[in-house]
Amino acid sequence: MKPFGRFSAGTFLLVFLTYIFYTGSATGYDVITGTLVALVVSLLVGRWVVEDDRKVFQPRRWLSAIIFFLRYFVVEETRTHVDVAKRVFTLRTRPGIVRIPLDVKSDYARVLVANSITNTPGTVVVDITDDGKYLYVHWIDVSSLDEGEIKRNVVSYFEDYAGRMFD
Amino acid sequence: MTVKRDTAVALSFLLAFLVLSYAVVEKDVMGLSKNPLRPLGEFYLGHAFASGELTSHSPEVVTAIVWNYRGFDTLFETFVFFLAIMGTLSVLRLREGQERMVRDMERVEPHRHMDLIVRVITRLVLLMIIGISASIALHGHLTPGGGFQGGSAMAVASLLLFAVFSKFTLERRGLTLRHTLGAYAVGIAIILLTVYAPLALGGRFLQINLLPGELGLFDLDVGEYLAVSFGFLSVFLILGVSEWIFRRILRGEVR
Repeated sequence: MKPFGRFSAGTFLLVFLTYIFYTGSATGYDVITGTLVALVVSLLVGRWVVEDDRKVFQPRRWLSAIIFFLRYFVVEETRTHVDVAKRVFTLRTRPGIVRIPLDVKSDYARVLVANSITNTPGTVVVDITDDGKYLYVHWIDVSSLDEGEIKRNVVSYFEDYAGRMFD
Repeated sequence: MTVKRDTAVALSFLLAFLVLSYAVVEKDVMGLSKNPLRPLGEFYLGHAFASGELTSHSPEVVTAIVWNYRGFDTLFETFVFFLAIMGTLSVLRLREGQERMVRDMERVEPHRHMDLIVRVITRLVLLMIIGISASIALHGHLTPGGGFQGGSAMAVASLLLFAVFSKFTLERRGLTLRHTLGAYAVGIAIILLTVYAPLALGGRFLQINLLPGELGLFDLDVGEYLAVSFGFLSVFLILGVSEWIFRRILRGEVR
């Protein structure tokens, strides 16, 4: 048992920021107690959520995260919402479940891709294989059975950004 | 059929809520707005954080009432919780040899785990719940909340952990019943110390003025937070054994 070997600055930051954000103020008392709480948590379960601390503090990962979320929530969400809204009125659907291979390596990247797919209207991740290499996605419009075509339509650029953020 | 019933229930709740709030707020049915503050309420508001004789040194009046003005009640509630945990321990706790048997049997049991998405997200959410519960507990003397509320939020985190992973995840990482009961005992000790210390310092039982300024009830919140969160966690650790394993071990006991 080496408690300090398990300390993780990324975990510390996550807990500390959650604490301050939830408290809604940052007086001396809040900062001191927040630091204490975050220290205890990151010493106990530091390596549980952050495997490599260096990745947390690389600005280019955060930059690609910001670009991704802007592009995703402004462009992609609008496009797919309009698309599904059209299908509601025209009833032009070809529902089905497709299997999609994932190229990203880390757990967070895979989860980000899966949740981004689920969050866009028209596609829902039904299952992920135990090794995390394939997604099963329910798609409202199975327009093609070609693997590359499917990936372009459903995953599009999520995977590039997820890789840049987490791999 | 059920959809219709659900809709009817939801709509009737909404209607009842609207009618009640209209009656209370607009028509003043219960006379709440004309009713002046009662003397008791005035006393609490005036004394909770003041320099007078009957103050409890807490800017948060609810916490002041809970821990000071009705302190006996809260103290005995803590004892009720203590008895519940002791009851669980005395009835269901396993001896060391039995614990080893449980671990062996668990290895045989087909291991089910939730998929990657659930596991990854749960880990993140767990840490955030811990941060939020600590914030609720440590600001109990300033804002609504307090030790019990924070501890309950923490218990939610434990339940989530047990649902997504298993109790053995915790034990493999070195957090066993012994540790959680130790933390629980520390919490209870803080509460009892705060409650009895005034007797030694020439005051009265439950006369809680140990810490300066706003911090009047801070130590009680910390104690209750530890007691509640680790009390619940201990109970979950005991109850987390699969039923078939438990039955088999109990049957061995009978023989």
